Amino acid sequence: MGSRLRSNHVFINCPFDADYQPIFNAILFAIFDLGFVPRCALEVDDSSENRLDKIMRMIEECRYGVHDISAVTLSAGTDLPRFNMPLELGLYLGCKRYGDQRHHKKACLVLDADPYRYRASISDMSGQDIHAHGGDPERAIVEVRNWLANRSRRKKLPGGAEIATRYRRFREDASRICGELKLAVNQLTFGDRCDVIGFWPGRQVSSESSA
Amino acid sequence: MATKAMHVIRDDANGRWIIKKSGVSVAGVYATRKQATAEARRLIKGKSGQVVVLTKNGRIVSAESHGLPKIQRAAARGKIGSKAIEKAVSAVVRARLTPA
Repeated sequence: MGSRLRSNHVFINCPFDADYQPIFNAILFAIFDLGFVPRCALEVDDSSENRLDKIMRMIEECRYGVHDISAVTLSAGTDLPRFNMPLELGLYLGCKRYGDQRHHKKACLVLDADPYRYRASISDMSGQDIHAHGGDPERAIVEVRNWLANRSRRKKLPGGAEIATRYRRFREDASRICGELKLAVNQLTFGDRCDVIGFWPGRQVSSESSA
Repeated sequence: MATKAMHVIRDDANGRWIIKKSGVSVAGVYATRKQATAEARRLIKGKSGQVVVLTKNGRIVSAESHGLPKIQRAAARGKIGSKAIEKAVSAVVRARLTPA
């Protein structure tokens, strides 16, 4: 294991389908707003490297991981469950446990839609602290913020409600920005989405803000 | 805690530089962008918020965060290109600040 462990990189392990986009986008925004760097399998765009190798490299590099295991239902087309999220969670926990000393510092947040559903799907996780977002993007923001603030021990991080307010403003502006780019919001690649968040200068939360 | 934004923009009517507080009220009028930027930084000192400076063409030249975590550069590369995104973001911000 030779990759550098980056203290402000956060690996996001979640579904990427349209139904989950509101929660994924909210988590992505919150991670940026808290001054961290989000990483996920979507950033992989180099066909010369095996997909699993790329994911494992990313997991190695990230000090933090946010894993959403809420997608446990059967896929409509195949009638089979998707195992990517539990696989990546297992890789992350394995890297933390079996990796060298620096990987023992890794921390992960496990999210689900309901607080106790995981007991039926991943019973080996029983006793772990699983956080529920209830399918609500703003609740996901609060969970991610509180967990990252707690684990990183960084001071002066904005509160979850403040980030959620900013995120609502961002969503309004994101549609306009995409209008300027002549694209629909869902046509942005992961990298483009990161760029839009990065360039967006809307970090005020105030009743006197213009809408 | 409420965070604020100070926008430094050029007032095309008189060629002066103004500070717009949270995109609404004018907090000051200055002869140069440099003076307006310095004053915006002074106004936000000790508070949390952002100083956003636009060029006379309306492009964002800088967006400094104060009392908030610095937004980090993404690890992923976009396809559209940062210049095009910056231009689109600037156009939206300019439209927000310019009275209809």
